[in-house]
Amino acid sequence: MIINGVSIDETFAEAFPMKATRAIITAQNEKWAMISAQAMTGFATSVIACGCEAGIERVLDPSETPDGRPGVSVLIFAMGGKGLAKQLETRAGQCVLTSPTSALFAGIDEGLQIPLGKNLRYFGDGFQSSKKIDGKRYWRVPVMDGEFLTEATTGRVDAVGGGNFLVLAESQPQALAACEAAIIEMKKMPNVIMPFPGGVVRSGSKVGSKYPALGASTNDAFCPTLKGVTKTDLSPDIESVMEIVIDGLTKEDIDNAMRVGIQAVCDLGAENGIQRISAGNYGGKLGPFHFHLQEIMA
Amino acid sequence: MSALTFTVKQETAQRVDMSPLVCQLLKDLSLTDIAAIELQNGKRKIRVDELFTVSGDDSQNIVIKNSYAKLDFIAKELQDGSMTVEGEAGAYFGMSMKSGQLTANGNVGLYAACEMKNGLLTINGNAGDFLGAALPGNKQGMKGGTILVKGNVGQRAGDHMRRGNLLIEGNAGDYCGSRMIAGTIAVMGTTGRFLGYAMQRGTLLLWQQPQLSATFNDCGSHTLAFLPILFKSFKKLDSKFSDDSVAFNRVQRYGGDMAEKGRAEVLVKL
Amino acid sequence: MLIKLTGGTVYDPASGIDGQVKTLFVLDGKFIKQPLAEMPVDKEYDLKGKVVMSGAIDMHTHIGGGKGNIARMLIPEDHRKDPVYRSDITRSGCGHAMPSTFTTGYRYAEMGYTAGFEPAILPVNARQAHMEMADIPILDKGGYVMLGSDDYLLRMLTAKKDQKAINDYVAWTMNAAKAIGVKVVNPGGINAFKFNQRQLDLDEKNSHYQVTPREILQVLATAVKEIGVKHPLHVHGCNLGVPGNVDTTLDTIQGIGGLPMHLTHIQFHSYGTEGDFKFSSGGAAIAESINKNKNITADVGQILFGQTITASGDSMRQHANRSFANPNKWVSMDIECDAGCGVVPFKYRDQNFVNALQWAIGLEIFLLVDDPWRVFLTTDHPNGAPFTTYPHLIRLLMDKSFRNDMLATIHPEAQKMTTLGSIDREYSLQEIAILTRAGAAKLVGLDDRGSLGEGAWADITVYTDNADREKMFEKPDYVFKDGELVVVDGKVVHTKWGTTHIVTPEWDNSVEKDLQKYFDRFMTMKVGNFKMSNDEITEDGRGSLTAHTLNRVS
Repeated sequence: MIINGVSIDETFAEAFPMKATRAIITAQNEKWAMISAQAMTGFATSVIACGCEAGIERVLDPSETPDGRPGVSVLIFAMGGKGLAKQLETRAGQCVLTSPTSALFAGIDEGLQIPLGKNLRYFGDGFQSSKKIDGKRYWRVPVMDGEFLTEATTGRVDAVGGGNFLVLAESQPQALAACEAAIIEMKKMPNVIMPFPGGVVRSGSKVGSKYPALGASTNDAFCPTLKGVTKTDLSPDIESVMEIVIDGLTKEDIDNAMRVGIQAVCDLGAENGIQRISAGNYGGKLGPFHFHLQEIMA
Repeated sequence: MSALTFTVKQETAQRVDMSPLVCQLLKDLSLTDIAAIELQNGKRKIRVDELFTVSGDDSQNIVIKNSYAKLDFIAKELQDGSMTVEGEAGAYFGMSMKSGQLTANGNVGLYAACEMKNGLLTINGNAGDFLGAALPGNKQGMKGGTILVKGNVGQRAGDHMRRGNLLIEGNAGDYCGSRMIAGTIAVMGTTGRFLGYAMQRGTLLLWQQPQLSATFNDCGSHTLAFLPILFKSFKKLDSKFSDDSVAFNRVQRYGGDMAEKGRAEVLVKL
Repeated sequence: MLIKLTGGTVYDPASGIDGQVKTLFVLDGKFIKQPLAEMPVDKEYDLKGKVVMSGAIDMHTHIGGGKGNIARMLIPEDHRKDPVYRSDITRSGCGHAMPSTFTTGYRYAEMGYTAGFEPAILPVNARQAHMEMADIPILDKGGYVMLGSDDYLLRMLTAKKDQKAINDYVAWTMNAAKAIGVKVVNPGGINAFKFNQRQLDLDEKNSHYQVTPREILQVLATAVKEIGVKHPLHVHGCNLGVPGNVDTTLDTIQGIGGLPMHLTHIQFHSYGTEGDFKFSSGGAAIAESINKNKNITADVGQILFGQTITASGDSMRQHANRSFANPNKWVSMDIECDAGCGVVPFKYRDQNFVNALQWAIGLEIFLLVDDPWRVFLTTDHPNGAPFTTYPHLIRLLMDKSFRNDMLATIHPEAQKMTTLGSIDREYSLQEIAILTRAGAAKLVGLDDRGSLGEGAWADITVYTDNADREKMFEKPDYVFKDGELVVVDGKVVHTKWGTTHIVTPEWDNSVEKDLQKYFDRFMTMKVGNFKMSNDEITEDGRGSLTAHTLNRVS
């Protein structure tokens, strides 16, 4: 399959079941909601060392937030429910409770309820108070700038993590420009995040390493400097490869995000140095979710 | 199906215990069965068809017409159905109501909605003392749901209240919110003496400056984030409370009752 | 009026009749041996195949006095669940744990009880207690006056007054309070509580009066004996409910030195400290000690599972138990420096280890005390359970397989800590009749009750024999009170008023001189008002007093 001169590999991205939740952070203005959200989703690129993968889903209009203030919705993904709950609470406690004028709400009502502000309330040292409004419990925790309002719990749902595609280009600037274009489009899609810095990852990995202590290592088949010394997957004219990783609440959400991302890359086309689109997988044996590039783009 | 309607033929001299005439107890009964139910009337019993003309067939939608102030325990422990009273209701109106909708289009007596569990109870007239309170000696009053009163309420509204919303468009009598454990009481009109007496936790939301006891202390003026959410939840009500123009988020906060736990608040609109 | 009760199977331990078919005659309220030939029988009841016993007597039940009303006020939710409507012959009220006075009378009578004795009449509250009991229909009643934590007695002990002076004070108080016995509750402990002591062991001194519980027990038991009162000193001992109190109780039995003593609700005083939970049964040790010491009698104070309310003069122990209040509300108070009062609602649960073991300990004591004349069937109403559970308790005693079925449902750790399952004893009907009738009458010192013999008042219950003893005892076919038929098929058909049983021991008038001074200086009441007159019980025309004989004083 070739789109605008870009070859779409007959391969698939392999993704895994995860647990996810959404939180909504509001503040006096969008700036402060965004600052809090960025802090909360910081250092959350990969579950391998960060405990979770998190990102900003989108900016919310005041009419969309529970308290009518500007807000930001964030998605957090983890491999297990316990890990998710722990990460959510730690991040909410350190990055939202602390952030001026912030308030924190559930972004998902259904599913198993996990603590959002339920335990943060103890920061109130007995002065905290709760309100149950329309079946939802809110905690009001007195803090130095006024009152921190937080919903007690948020819903946890089953989700998918690790959707991806690779952009193979003739030069590094061209690869990055294509990825940036893709991220702009993908960020408009609901229910997904691209957890790596700026949404783009340059250090794609393979399973295993020559060092027994390491479970994963650089994906040498896609490293352009190793074209001559390893069993490469790259043709001679490819000088740079970058990857976009996507976590989504459902497989369909990832399908849609991949489609608009790949389309944006292909729109730049061969004339902008884009050669191929590929994807990372482990032979299909590890993850139950397979995203076939050609099916998605069909 | 039309609403099951009980129309009072003639008022009794003594009080009537109406607790048998509630949706969940009449579910599978025929009109003949219902007509034969005996109600306690003072120290005697009175048959339903002696006191009422009964018509209609939807037992989950009950209307009591020509009601008068001696009909006690109307809609006691109401579950799921809908009941409407045309006229006055006696004491214990909607006591321990569990769910559903209950409306009085007149004044109601003492202990209305006492120990209510859930549901929506609307009083279009005035309510007597101990609205949403605990029965004497009991530890917890209203535990959930919403009470909406368009008129005035008597003394001790929300006494021992545990949870839920008590919304009063008119005035409240003395000791409003006394011994409250938690929950929200909102009063658009005036409040009486000893507001929030021995209140432990919970919120009294007021539109008018109250006369506060010495055991409530000023905590300053604030903009509180939960108020918009609270007002948003009133939107579905057919009430002044659903009107955008009455909502506010800027308040003077008074903490108390310092003679008790001191974790309660009186919020007065600024 | 001559009544003939024909052909019933009679259990009358007082006359030594054990299940013989016998015809009984009642003339004007009392049993006679045989009517004169020409006397016409006014009414004959055919009791063939029926079980006939005298009316049952509850020798320890809290049915009068201020704490009952406090208990009623404290648990309105309990009353609301059990409203009692009026009928043409009975009055309205409410029931369950602490029923209203009228309901108390009806429900006792409907189970075949014809007398109940209030065990904790504070002298200063005696008037109220008797007025309250005067509102209990059908039943005979009486009470034990509470001494031992009153400042006056403790002052006498500190001042080393001689036994004679104490005897006079005890006799004077019994007369003033219209009592038939003397009770001591947590001897000196209620007083010590007011001096900030939160527990008081048998040999621990009251920090103010320097008097120990052991001394109080000795002087009071001696006084009761020396003034000739038949009912032995009625003792609610030290350390009620405290794990390890079995040692205190055994020590109390030894320490009384052979004087007659009645240990009440002994179940609450029979706890060891073994096992993982540091709570174990002392039932066997207590039963063995009672078997050995013939001067000792005991009622059990069995607990049964469910909601009840505990009302006790033992404000010290009730204060310690306040955290178990369920629903969470309680009262502990001083009463006029005479004693105290603690009311704590309780919910005994079979899946609670302690409650489950308490249940088993009570039954162990019932079954391991050999002599049925020295053990009595009580739940310490309402403290262990309301009196309405008696038929269930009787079934537990009479039916081993039922008992073991119940045992199998309680907290598993409690099952391991009791020997109950290995006890084979089943009470016979005659033994039940001893526990609840003849033995109780003898213990309280009633001359002419608890018997179907000639000259006794005709309090009679008639049951239909039923292998399910609970069903049998909860619904007698007939109950007669003083020869009048009051209950048919477990329902009150006629009401009347019982008498108040008292004793009138003698005292030296000089005792009042000092009391006068004491009252004038310290009390809110004058001596003259403190003493009840006979008229206060009889003048309304429905109450009456029955004075019983005393032991001959040597």
